Amino acid sequence: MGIINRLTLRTLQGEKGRTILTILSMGVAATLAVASLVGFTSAQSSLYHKSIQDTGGMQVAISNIPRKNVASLVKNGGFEKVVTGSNLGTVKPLSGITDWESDQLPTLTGMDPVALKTLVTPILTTGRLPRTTSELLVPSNVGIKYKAGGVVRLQTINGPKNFTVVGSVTGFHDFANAYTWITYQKNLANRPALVAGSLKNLNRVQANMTALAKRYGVPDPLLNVRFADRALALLGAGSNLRDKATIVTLLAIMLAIIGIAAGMMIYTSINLSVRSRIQRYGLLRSIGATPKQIRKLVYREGVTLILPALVLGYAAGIGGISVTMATLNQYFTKMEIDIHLYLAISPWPLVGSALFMILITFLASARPAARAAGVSPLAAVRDNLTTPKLRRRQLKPGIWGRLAPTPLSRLAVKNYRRSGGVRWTMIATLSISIMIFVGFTEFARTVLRDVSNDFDPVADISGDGYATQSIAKPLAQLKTTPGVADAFAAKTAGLELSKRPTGFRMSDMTAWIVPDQVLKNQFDKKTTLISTTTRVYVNGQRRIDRNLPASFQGDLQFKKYGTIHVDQTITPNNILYRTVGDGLVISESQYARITKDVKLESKGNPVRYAVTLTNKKDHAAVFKAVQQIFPGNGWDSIAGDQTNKGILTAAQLLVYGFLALLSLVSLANIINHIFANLLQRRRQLAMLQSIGTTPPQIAGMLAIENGLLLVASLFWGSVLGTLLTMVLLNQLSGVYQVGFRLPWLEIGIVAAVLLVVWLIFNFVSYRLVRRQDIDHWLRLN
Amino acid sequence: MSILTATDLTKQYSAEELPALDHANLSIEAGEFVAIVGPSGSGKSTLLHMLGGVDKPTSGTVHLYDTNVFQLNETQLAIFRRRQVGLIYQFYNLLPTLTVEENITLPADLDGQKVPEKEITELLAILGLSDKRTALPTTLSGGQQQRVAIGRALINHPAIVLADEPTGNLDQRNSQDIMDLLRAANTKRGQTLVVITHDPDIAAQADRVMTITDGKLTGGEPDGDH
Ligand SMILES: Nc1ncnc2c1ncn2[C@@H]1O[C@H](COP(=O)(O)OP(=O)(O)O)[C@@H](O)[C@H]1O
Ligand SMILES: [Mg+2]
Repeated sequence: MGIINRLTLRTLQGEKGRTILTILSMGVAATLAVASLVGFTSAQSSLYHKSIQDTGGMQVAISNIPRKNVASLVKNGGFEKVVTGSNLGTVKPLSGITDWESDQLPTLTGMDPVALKTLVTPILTTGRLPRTTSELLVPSNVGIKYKAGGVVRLQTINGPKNFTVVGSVTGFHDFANAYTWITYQKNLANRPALVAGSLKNLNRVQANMTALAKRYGVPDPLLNVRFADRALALLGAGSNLRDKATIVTLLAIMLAIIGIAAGMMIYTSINLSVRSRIQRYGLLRSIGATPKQIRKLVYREGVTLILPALVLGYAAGIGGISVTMATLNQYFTKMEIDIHLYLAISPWPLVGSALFMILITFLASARPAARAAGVSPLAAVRDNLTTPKLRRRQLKPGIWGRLAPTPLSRLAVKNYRRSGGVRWTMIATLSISIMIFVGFTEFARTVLRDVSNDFDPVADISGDGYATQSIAKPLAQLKTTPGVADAFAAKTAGLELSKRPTGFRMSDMTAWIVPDQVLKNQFDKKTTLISTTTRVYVNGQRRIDRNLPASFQGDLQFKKYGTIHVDQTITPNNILYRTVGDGLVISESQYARITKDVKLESKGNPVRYAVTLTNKKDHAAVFKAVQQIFPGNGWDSIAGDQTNKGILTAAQLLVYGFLALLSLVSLANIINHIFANLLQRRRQLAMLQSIGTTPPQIAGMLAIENGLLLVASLFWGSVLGTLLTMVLLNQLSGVYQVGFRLPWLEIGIVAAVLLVVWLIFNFVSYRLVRRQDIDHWLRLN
Repeated sequence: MSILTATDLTKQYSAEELPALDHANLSIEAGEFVAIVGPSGSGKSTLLHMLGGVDKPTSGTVHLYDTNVFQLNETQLAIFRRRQVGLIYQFYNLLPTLTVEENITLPADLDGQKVPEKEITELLAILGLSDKRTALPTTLSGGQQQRVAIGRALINHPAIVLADEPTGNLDQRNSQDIMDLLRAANTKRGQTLVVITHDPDIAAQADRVMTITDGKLTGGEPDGDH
């Protein structure tokens, strides 16, 4: 073992208490780094796994690949897993479909059982997978006619053919325009194929896959390469470059915060130990240690301390994250939230956090090391070389000095004032610690609070359906469904104003066509304009906004439909009306009259409905029942709210966990500061005792010194922390609308914690002074 | 042959005060035992520190053999100190975390040298510390600690050993032990030795005595008053 290592180890062993304290503090910092990186990657991969479920784990889907190229593309495309399907031509409904609005005809895709299971199971909303070539899945937004069991006649490449509908799939997934009408097909047909797969390498995935598709003969006009974008975005591989930038920025900010807090704490530890060893460095210099050797000694000490701290950090960080995740998973299960967090222990966060902490240690040791290397050999004999140069001003009694009533308190104030540079370094680092705590905690609290109440309320269950006849019956069914408290449903028709009176922000409007009975009971038989309000933000101010006038009465001119007289305008408080939204409520018979007058032929209308529940717990069952009445896209806002709430809770837990660790690092810094200072001054204290100062007097003196230090730090830290919050919130003002408040709570917490630390310090210093062997410290040199 | 020469060595700590050392000239022969005496605050330590390359003069030069000591850079100066100079202080200045043996071999360790076991045992025997080899400094008496410091000064066979009141902190008996040790090193190993002292008895044992009063050195040259 080299002399530098030996000196380092002996020194650390010789000051066991302090070494352990330092390792523990560094361990907290390392825990913070490990937990943040592991937590970040775990959350990232958990959310990725959740998102990628929608596409059965497949990241990309390429359509229209010439049949002859499929085998080589599958082999050479760099896929990890791959499934295929056949493009069986476009879907041209011949019968069984009464309303067809899309201008682009969708594709009929044939899939083998594996592809069906992989790609279709996750998007199946009703029914089951097709098992024969004459069974069909249809997109759920197509409407009421396609209930399971119905027969559809489609034009296929082999001529007209009857299919039995066995279920529906959601139209909302990342591969939606690659497959929505799906049937069974055992082997690849001699037709252009669909290849969906997950990739070994996600580098430049967008460009690579598009190039691949072209290389394998997909003609430009038919080029259709879809990506599981939401999932890929979580890995920073989405098509949106800003997602990647966001992830990188988030990580960078997190690491910067950890770096500053940890760096400062480590700087304090190393700096204090260097200060206490000036004489020793002088001695080593005088017997021939080179500045480089001294510098190495300091760096070595830092590294020797950070290594066990890292072990602690790994244990506590990974352990902490596992426990947190297990707790969250339990909570998610209880709340019926479909999220499961996995611990992702990949090498880079582990190696990264170690390298990061070592780097921070090196950076934090640089100044103390330079200071140590610059110690004159004379420091070995001249103790006074270590005392700072005092200015005249510092020798005069300051305001505190004049106020101090006893000799010892006057001495305390003198000590405080004359500690010059040391004092300012201490106040600066303590203030920054406090600033980080106050600033980020208040910032996180504000953002989390504001995000959590930032949604406009909607009815418990809402959605779209389709109706060809009066919806009086389905509405009655809806209202009598067990668990439903109230319901509202209306057929819709798109209206376009030919003249826009004041207050109408857009020409497009919707007609809410309700059963005559509903208009009579609920709207007083009046043709009613529903004008809802939304909360918007303008220049950081919350404001109520609407797209229709708050009060309107009179005639409205529409294209195609002609003139409709509006009897009244209401701003609904009713959550059902609010959910269905802005529109003109007319009765079914009036609608029939108008369409007849203007010779508009309507085969059917889309339906909007909204439902409130008697008991919110029944949401899943009611949702299912409602889907039977109105197949189509539905929104279970209870489930959605729970998911939102769950995610918010998880985010809060993680953010507060992060802040708690961050505060611990800052606290360790403060404790390190004042206790190291105490240990360093034992000789001076022994001297004071030897000339007849009592232990309470000495403890009192120390209490005053540290009190002044903590008060100054609290002051500056709070001021800077408040400013930091303001700056951060200001930065975010474009994204979240958040208001600034003075962070009294955080300042209060800091003050309370500092008070406790101060009291503990007083107790410890009193005990230490009372018990110390004066003779021992006076002899020591 | 003189191994150490100082020419017009001057140290002025501040412009207002008189120089702590004023144009001192001296030369020391190989194997010589020189005592420096003078009242407290006269500049003895200042001179010694500059001879050892520990402190820098305001003006003047120090040569060890042909080396102009203050033209060396920090690293060269450090290597010069650990190979050519052995320093002994009034307060023993040992590292409390190293054992007796480790304290003694520290300059060799810093130099990346391994001291032969035989040499260590011999030196420990001479110092009377054979049974204290693995003891920590805090468990030793003042005299014993000073002997460790002497061992440390001698371990690299330096060209010159400089001792600043090595007995200033010791009682009569311990003082004589230490002086015997130093004299033995001087006579038996031919170790060149410069000792600062207040003690006339010790000064009397030296080959030559230099005197400093108010920063002015007399008796610096061998052909002076001796
Ligand atoms: N670092 C210093 N700064 C200012 N003056 C100093 C310093 N070191 C020593 N002196 C002054 O130089 C003079 C000589 O000091 P020193 O060499 O220690 O005396 P001696 O060792 O003979 O007692 C004294 O007047 C002392 O006050
Ligand atoms: Mg002196």
